[in-house]
Amino acid sequence: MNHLIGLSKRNILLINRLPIQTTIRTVLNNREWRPKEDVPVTAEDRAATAKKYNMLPEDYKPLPPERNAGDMPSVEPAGKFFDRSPWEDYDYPMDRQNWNEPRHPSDHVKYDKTRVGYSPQKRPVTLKILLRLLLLPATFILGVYGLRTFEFMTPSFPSRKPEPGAVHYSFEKDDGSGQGVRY
Amino acid sequence: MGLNISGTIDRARHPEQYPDKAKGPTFDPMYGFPDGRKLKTAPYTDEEMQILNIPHDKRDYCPERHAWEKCETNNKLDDAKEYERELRLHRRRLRKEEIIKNNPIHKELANNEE
Repeated sequence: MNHLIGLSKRNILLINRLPIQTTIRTVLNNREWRPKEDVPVTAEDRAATAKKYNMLPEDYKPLPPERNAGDMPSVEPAGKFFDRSPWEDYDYPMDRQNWNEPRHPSDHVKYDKTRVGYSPQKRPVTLKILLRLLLLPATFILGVYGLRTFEFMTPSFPSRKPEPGAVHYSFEKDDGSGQGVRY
Repeated sequence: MGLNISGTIDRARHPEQYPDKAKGPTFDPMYGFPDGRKLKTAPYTDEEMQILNIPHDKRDYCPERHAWEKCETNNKLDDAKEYERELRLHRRRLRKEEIIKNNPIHKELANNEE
């Protein structure tokens, strides 16, 4: 369906996005996403697992064996929400994360009890974001003018006023009985 | 609401089957009423209404202050009944024209009205 609207890959990411927080749950619950149980030793295996985790081969380091982590790399914390610059072009600007980046467990925290920071929670406003404000009024106005072409089906004539030349009749009979209409 | 929407769409697709709301009733008002119909009497004439400073949208057939709501309701029902009568006579005429078109023998049907 996305290719019918003509969306690029990046727009597909932003529109069909899975929230970052649920990927943490899914990674360990989904068997296909689980890390392998054997630590890679040969250079080819290390290169392949580095590619799997979207890292450079020289950056890949497995965790120490007492952690029992298998394949998973040890990643330095790259920075939480408020430690990252708001001016970079993230894939998920509301979380300040990129798709498929190797993440440390503490990086998902946005609101921390021990956070001491006075930076504003703003993000740079682009023209695209401002144009989204026009969507609702535009659809409303177009809808009103589009629906004006339809004459709505209230099955009655407009109320009749006593004009000087017009003669209007009720549904009562003319013979004084008061019959002919039942209100 | 569903009836309203479907009626609106049908009216937009087949406008010839519905009477024109702006024009009002076009058929003879006494047609089909053997005992006649009573006239509607306006309570005040134009000059009296102007003198009394009645607002323009209330200058209609309903005089009394205390029975005004009932009078208004009855007038609206009358408008709906007029519309329904107009609709049925209109459709009847269309049906007759269809019959004549398909079978020119029944030409006497065309003059059986008004």
